[in-house]
Amino acid sequence: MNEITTILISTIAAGTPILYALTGDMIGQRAGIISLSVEGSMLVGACIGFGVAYRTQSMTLAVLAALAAGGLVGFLQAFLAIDRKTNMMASGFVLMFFTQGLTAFYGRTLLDVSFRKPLTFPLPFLSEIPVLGPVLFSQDILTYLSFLLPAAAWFVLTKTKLGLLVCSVGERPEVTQAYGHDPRKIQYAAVIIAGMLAGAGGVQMSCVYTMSWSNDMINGRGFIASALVILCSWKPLRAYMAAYLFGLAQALLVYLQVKGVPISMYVTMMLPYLLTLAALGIISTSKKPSMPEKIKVISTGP
Amino acid sequence: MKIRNQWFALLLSLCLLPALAGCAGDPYAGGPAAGDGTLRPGEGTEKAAIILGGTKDDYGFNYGMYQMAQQMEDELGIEVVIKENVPQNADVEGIMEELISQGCRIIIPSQFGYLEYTKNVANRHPDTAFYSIPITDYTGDNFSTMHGEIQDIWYLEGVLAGLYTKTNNIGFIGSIPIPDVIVAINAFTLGIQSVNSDAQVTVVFTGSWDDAGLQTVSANQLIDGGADIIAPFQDSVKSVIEVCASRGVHAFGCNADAYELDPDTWLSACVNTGDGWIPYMRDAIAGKYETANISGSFDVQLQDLARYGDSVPQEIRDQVDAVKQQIINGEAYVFEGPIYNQAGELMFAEGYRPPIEEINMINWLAQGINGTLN
Repeated sequence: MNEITTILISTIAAGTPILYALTGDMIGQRAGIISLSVEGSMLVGACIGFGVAYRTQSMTLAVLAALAAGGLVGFLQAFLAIDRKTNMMASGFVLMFFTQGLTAFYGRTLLDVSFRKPLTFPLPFLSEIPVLGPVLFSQDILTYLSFLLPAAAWFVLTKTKLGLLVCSVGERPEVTQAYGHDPRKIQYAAVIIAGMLAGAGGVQMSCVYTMSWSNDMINGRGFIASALVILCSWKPLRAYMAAYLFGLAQALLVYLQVKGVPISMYVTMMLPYLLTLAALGIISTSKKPSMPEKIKVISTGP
Repeated sequence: MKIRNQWFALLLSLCLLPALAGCAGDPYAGGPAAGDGTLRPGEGTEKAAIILGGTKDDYGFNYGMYQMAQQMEDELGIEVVIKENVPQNADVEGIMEELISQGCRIIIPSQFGYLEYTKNVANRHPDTAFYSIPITDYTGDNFSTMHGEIQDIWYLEGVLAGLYTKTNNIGFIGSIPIPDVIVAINAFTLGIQSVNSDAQVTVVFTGSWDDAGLQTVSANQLIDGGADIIAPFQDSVKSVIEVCASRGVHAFGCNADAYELDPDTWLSACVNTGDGWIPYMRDAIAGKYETANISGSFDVQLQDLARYGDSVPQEIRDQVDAVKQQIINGEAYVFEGPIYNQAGELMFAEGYRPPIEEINMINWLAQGINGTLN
């Protein structure tokens, strides 16, 4: 196999779960709520999705279950952060620890089982394009959908009335209210959608990417996604860049070692974070990020 | 709305009450004859405890310890309590005190981070026998060490891999370059080279013990590079085995017998075995405890090779078993010189057999390995 193809396949595989959680959390943050709980949503999505996939042998049901489970964690985050006015960072952390325990407990029976249904649907002709064909057109449905996801989020958030409403809640909720809409309901919906998309990322990771469930398998990817939202300056189309940058760094971590490139192993292990930090630095100096007002209040004070 | 929320909170706390009740009970009630100092360590105990850093079903190190607990229950007729996810800090002292108060008078700490605290508890409870898995200087009185060495077994895995590979390209997924992992990589490679001078070993470190995503990326890229055998030194090997199965290549396990995960993909693994311990513990229970400080592999029956996978042909099994016999007889020695490092420098001179202390100090990779420790 072409080596660039190898790297790109790893990039897409490692980037897709992040892409889902990242786009989801971006919608939530545009409505003014940061959901560190996307880590928890990914975990329950991965665990419950894999369990349903194994028992029913149906990927459709698995995705539906993961959406529901991830959305439920999103709902808890919404309840705590919106109705109970808890610190949204703290509630996100607590939900992560809660789901770690919960999935470790319910995932016990899934540690030794397999779900080996072939999920790849190569598109005719397109998948035979050299180099990029196998990368872009020989994937599973969840990955195909992820290619469209940030574009769809961009369209909804910037081109529709619904998107305007979501963003207005994150900027000036009193204006939303004056126009006769309940900001609370919109925030709830945005945070639940963030959880659902993160759940989809989780089930992609367990059923498609690693083909297994193991304890705490998300391993901080949800937090990374949440942080990458800032890297994207809350602009949905940049989600492609951020998620695949992280995926590329993970792919390179392995590739450089396989090829015996004389770079210290510890430097390659830093790569995912180094690249992300570098990109963060570049973006935050070159242009004022379009941070939603409600989040500005949290990070810089009123 | 507000009142409803308060009712909700009340209801929630009522639901949680039974959970709290489970924690009640006097933690320091004192087990049978605890602390009276007249008993030898472990004498007459009906309970033992194993303290794990992870969960028992990880198909790695902790699962291996769990399998050993079952062997202890079967052969010693005692109950073995397993404490999972115990942090490597002072909390372990409280957990050990609680276990002792419940009557566990044989205690096995499995992680290095427990040992300092274990020594404190051991000093307070001279009637309890402690068996450390990691190698340590604390050994003495009621604190014994039973350290399984892995180089012989990984060498055998290398022999198996060298005979089994068809592409002469073997991948190793390391975690973090600590002594055990470095020893394993070198022993594995020396085993391969002893039977197959054409085979290449490529090492990748993930920097983590159980990141399923990085394991998948590593396995896929190694297979893309031509590897037909993957050897992981990771805590959980499930995703490596699944990836290998889906790509039609074969995999070793690590520190546990996970044959049942996929008998066709599975080759073998280095596993703990209780055979070496059981006699010591039987003596302890009979009141004849002696401090033990044992380190070794199948010579002292602390480590062994796991079951072979279904796809390993009989002639390869015979050859591996023959090498095993040679190691037991002392005819073969894993790190016997001459051994060169990656740069071609002579590290162990011709005929020299380094002692285990020297083997654990190795901080280089043997000639013929693609990979870096820097």
